[in-house]
Parts: sequence; structure tokens; C-alpha cells
Amino acid sequence: MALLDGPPALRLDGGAALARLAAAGLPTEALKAPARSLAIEVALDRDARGHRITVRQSGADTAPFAQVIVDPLTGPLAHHGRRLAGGLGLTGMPAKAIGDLIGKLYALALAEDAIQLRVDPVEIDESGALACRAAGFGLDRMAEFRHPAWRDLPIEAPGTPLERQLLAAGAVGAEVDPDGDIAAVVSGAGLMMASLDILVARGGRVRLMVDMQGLPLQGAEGLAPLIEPAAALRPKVMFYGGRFNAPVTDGFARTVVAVHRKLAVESPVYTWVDGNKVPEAQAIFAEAGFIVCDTLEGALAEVVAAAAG
Amino acid sequence: MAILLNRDTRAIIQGMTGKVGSAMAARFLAARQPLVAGVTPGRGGATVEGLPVFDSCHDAVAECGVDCSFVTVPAPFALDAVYEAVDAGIKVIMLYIENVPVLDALRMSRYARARGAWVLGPNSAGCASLGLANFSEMDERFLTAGRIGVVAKSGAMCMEAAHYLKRAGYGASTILSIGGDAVLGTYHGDALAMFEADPDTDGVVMVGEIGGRSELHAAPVVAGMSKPVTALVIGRHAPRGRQMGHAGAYQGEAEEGFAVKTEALRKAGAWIADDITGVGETMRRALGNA
Repeated sequence: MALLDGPPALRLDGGAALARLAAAGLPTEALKAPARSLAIEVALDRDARGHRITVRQSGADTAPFAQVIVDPLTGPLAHHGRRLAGGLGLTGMPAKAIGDLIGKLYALALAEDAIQLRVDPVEIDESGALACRAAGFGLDRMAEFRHPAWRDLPIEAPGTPLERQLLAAGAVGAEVDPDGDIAAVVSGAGLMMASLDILVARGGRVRLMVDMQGLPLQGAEGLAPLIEPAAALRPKVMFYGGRFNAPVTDGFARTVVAVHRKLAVESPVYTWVDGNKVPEAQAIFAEAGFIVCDTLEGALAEVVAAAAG
Repeated sequence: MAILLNRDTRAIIQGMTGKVGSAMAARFLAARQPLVAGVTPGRGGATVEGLPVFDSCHDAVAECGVDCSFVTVPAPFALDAVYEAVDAGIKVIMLYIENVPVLDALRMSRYARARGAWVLGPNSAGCASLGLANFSEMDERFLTAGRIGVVAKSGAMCMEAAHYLKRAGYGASTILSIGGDAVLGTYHGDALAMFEADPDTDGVVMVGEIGGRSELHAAPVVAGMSKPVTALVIGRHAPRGRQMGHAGAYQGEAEEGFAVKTEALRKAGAWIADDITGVGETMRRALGNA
């Protein structure tokens, strides 16, 4: 499974989560004589292109009794309910009750833009009566525009304080090695990963990697808030790089130089830029005393050597 | 011929009256790409960069014979935009925008595939069949046309792969950014199958990354190909569980990581490059042994 259970999700748990179930008409009152206690999860599976519904023993991360993939074009079908009930060994009213429950949970997951909805425990008795006793939602932060109330949720954004600061600036940062001595700011998620791989493969110890996302297009106003916290780390060596399709490379260079001057950062700075307005950008970097490299691999090799020196 | 885009392509921009849409229109026209119109609901009759704007994709298809759309509408409207393009009969839809809800991405992906249309993205840098049609943020002045296909999630990796192919003496047939979000409309294996069927492509560079299983699903496709595939999975040294730029680039389970994916591709017969700077030379060795 490749469930979307990573850091981008927002969490909704406890009483607030159970209230969502109750508001959706799901039973939440404890049963007098529960026969079984289950965990039911509705989770978006990115690779199956559907929601995976899984039934397990309550409180355990054991192998599921049964699971099905629900196509978003159809939603849950009767046979999904039969398969899940069959996996639990249920027949009659309890089997029907499970089928009804997964239909309601799926609808709730969609309504709430939940990447993951886990109800644990789900009590069930011999008559088929059910009770959802606790629940947790992983919410898709990209869907916040559909759920204004999410802004009031007590949510802690993922990541370190520096990563959160970079995220607030519109960039993506990853603190890799707290003892690292290299900080790199690059254009593009792919370049962020590819550069990190090359630096580490050559023996570099990387403190921070940053993907600037689209901020170079916003000029100094957009770029400076991300350059400043990276430069303020004052690592042993800094690297700035990117292949710019838009004619913004000179503006990028000007902003980087201005931030380094403002913060009086003395770390050696290595740069590699390609694309549009490259001579202008290289001249700005060179005039500021930064090292200008002609190739990505050459730049990363020099960065590692400088950090080791 | 290439894949997805060719010399007969006629494209629209959905959201062309917006800031991003109008900027991309100017860019595509300056590069002499076959952009013929735009679509913005409620803005029919307007013009952008001298091109007509229609109220709907159906109107654009009827009036201009459109078969491709570059989507720049804000994320809340992306699902409806893709549904409309598919229903109008458009077969190649490039979702340039990001921050699309995953549920919407899931729905549009399934809807398009069920109707024979390809969605690239969300968060795709677009697609370029060099010398034929280029609807991407990749500047063709820095690329060289040739006979190697390139597929990557990242636009940056598309550009770097094409650059290192060029340094090794090879040009690209089609360069395809499938997007960096967690749920995508088109996966690596889909692109490989298209390149295998393309008579103008002799080999493929495939850049994968941590997160998801697109690369694992591509492995059986690689194994069945007659053309050599050079593969690279980036994110080997990314901290576990940390998002690496793309919304979909974080490793949860081991199968979503570098080692498992790389080994699967190697076993399938792909030529594994050590890093992005090595894809050109690796492709040279692969073609020499093909």
C-alpha cells in the first residue's frame, strides 16, 4: 500500500472526530453487550487510485481480516460489503450492518476530504447493532478551501521550526543532518533531491536542503523570506543553484547577494545557474565574491571539497 | 511522430484570462507553439494575445479543432476544468497547477482514463515534443531534438536529463513531466508504453523519485520493452518521512524508497544511472548494447 499517511495531512482526533461521525448519523453510543471490537479504516491509496477499506482487530496493527479497493467512479458497491463481512465471518444482520457502515464511512471520508479515516473501536453485537467509539481523520490540507472551519482546528504543522518557517515563506525545506555543514538552496523539487544525493554520495554532510518552488518568479519580495533563514544558519558552505526557464536568474542572484550582505554571512558561497540571463547572474555573484561554477556536478564537487577543507 | 504532442497538435489554455494563463499564452506564442484559443467560463468573446477566448471547451473544440489543453485554472476549479475538457473530447490534458486536493486528482485521473484521455499532473511542468509542439515550462532553446524519450515527475529533472543527454550527444523526442503530486493522472509505466510504441524514439530516460509506487509499477513495462531504458530514482538520501519539494515525494514504507525501486528497475532490465549527471553516458552504454 502507498497510503497518503505522510506529513502533509492535518489531524482531527478525539471528541471532535467522534462528533463528526455522530453528525453524519453514525452510532457512537456504547453497546451493552458487544460481541466483537474492530478497527475500520478508509484510506486513500495513491497507487491503486481508490480508497482502501480495511477491517482489522481493534487496537492492533495486525494483518487485516479483509480489505477492498473502492473506485471513485462507483463508490462502495454491495460486493465490497459482502467481502468485508465475509472476511469477518459475519452473516445475516451483522453482515448487512457492516456493509451499511462502510458506505457511510466512505461518504464521510469524501465529505471531509479525509485522506484517512480510522474508526477504532467499532463495536458490533449479535443483532448487528454497531457503535463507533473513537475515530481519527487525516485531512488533505490542499482541500482547505472547501473547509474554512479547518483554520480553527488545533493543528500543529509538520516539520522542524526551520522547515515550518520555510513553508510559511512558500518554499520546502528539509533539515537532513543536524551536524551537517552544507546548506543548499535550489530551484525545483527534483533538483533538491538529486543535489542531495550527489552531495552525500561524494561525502558531504548536508545540514539543509531547500526547494525554492516558484518563489524566484516573485522577485526579492518572495525570495528574501526563504533565503534569510537558510543563510542565517551560517553553515560552513552554502550552495545556490538552478536552471531557470524564466528570465529571473539575475533577480535571483541580486536577492541572494543582498540577503548575504544584510546578514553579514561569511560562509563561502558556491553557485551554479543555467537557463535565461545567466551571464548577468554570474556577474552579480562574482562581483559579490561568490564562487561561480559552470556545471552542476562541478559545483557540488567543489562544495563538498570546501566543506571538507 | 513522438508521443502525446505532434505536428498536428492544436491546444487551448484553460484559464487563459488569468495571470498564469495569459503569461503562458504569451510565452507559447513567442515560441511559435500551436496554441489556438483559450477557455474561461463567462469570458467568451474576449481575446488574449490576439487569440479567441471561449466560454467552454466544447465551443473551443467545435470552432478550433482542439485536441490538447494546458490547464492553469486555480486549484478549486481544476476538477471541473478537467471533466469539461474530457467531455469535450480533448485527449491530452496538462495540469500545470499544484495544490489540487488529492480526492479531486483521484477523480479526474479515473474519469480521464476511463474515457481514453491522458491527464499529466497535477503539478506537471508539461510536455514537449521537440520541434513539433511544446506546451511546457521547458525552454526549447536549451533543448535538442532527437530520438530519446524522457519521463520524470519533476520539470527540473526533465530539463537536467535532457541536458545530460545533449552532453552525451543525444537529443530528445518527447519530454514528459508527469507531475509531482501524490496522485497523478499518468504514471511512468504509461509513458514507457507510449515511448515503446513510438517509431521516433530509440530509448527512454526515466527519472523516478521516492514516494508512491509508480516506479515499481513501471518495472514490468521495462521488462517487456524492446528499447533500452535508463533509470534513476532520486531521493536516496532524503530523510525518511520528510516531504522533499513535491507533495508526493516522501517515503513512508520501504517499497516507496530508493533501494526497492532501483532494484526492481534493475531486475527488469533498466540501465541504472548513479545520479542525474550520469544519465547521458548511461544511455550511451545502453544503446551500445541494445
